[in-house]
Amino acid sequence: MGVTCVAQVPVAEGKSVQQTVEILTRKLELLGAEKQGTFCVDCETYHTAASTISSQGQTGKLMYVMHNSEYPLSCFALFENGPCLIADANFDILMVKLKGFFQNAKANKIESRGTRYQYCDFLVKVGTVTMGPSARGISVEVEYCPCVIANDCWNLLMEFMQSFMGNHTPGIPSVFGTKHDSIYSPADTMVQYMELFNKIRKQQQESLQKAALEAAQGL
Amino acid sequence: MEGWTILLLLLVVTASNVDNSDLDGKVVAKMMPEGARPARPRREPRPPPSPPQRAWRQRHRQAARWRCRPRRVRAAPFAAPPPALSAPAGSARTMEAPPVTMMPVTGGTINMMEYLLQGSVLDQSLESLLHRLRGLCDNMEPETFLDHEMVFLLKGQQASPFVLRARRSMDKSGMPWHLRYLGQPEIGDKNRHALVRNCVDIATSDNLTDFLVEMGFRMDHEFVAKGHVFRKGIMKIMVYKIFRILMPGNTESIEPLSLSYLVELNVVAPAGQDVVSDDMRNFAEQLKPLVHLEKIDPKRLM
Repeated sequence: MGVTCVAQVPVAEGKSVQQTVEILTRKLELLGAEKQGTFCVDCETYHTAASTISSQGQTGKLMYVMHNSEYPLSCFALFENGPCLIADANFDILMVKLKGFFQNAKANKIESRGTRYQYCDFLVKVGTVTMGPSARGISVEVEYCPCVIANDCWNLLMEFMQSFMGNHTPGIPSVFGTKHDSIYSPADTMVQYMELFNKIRKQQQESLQKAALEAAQGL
Repeated sequence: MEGWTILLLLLVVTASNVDNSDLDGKVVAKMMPEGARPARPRREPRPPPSPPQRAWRQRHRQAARWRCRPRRVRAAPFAAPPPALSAPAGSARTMEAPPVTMMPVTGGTINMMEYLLQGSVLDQSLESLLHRLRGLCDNMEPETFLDHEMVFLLKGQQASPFVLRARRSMDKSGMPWHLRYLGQPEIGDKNRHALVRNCVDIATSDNLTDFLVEMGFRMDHEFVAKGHVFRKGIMKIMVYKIFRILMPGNTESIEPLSLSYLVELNVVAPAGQDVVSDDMRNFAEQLKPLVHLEKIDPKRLM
């Protein structure tokens, strides 16, 4: 486990999601990165059920339950801007028991699947983000394995990302800002994935609204 | 034996070269020792593999090796301590987990049941009970525990709130927190010799209480449990005292709730394995008259 940066790569103009992923992976292969199987990160959304909202006056908070194939026995539960609980896989069973209080928004299930590459001390995972049946975007996760302090290796990470992402290299992730010199943990990676998934969902909603507006104007 | 077969075959081949009659077959049948197989025609030696072929084979073999490796990777806090910053370059290769193949990530063990028998002993009888348990149970180092348990409630419109128990070890640092859900107890069945209830055990990181509060749970009560734990096969026997916490949140100032120790015999097994309750009853019989372990309905005590 090291320090990880998760970023979104925009789909290249005139290309499909799949083609853009292929361009990225080809670049990595040319660089000398070795293919090492596949990976999957998924995220389920839970709504606070109406019964709890009315009795406690809570606003309808969303809870995210995520899994990462890099940590197959664990389950990550998160709130936006809140704590991230790392639990074992039985947490999924608990969510079934809690279905009277937390409802699974099945349509909102989002996941990123793709290939895992190793290049010296770096692990790179290029994934296609899918929500339902269709591809919504591309995620790139880069991990620098030998270091656990985010600020100590951010520049190195950025330099490496520039070598294959070019001008799509992301800025410093917000989780790094709160870490200072403390130890980076897998929960921080999951927070980054949650933010990325939320961004992609928002983009999706915006594009749908735009399309609806255009259709209305056309009429 | 093999040398003989080859020699015989050579003879036959030479014979067939000389005379092409159907006698050869009979000769072979007669002269071959029982169970021996006729030798296969020799193949041309294989040409050495071309470089791309060799690379492919190497990759294939490596992939097969990876597949065979056990995959038990846990995230923090269960993972080993993080590697030192000064780890030599290239060491990442060995410390990394093997590549994971696509696998179902959602999981957990569905429908586990806790079978439970309870009883209690006065403080004066504790030593004799421990002595008996040491003799009956698996031969292991005597194990004690000191735990802090918090009981959280989530109230909805339903009549009964949802109860979760969060437990942490006070005497062993670095252990995961323990989150527990317990279902409604079933005690009516006369054929079952123990109380049975659904249970979900989850190991979690240490921010569990913050997370439960974020989920909407409120702490109802807390206590400290201190005692001994024994095992016999899959059975777990706990002998412990419950302490009241005098100042909320301060686990240092505690006082015992009673002058006795609670004794619990429990097994967690998949649903439907009622046979375990027979074993439990037999074990409980062996603890008599020091302690009487029974099916106790928690509702009756309320």
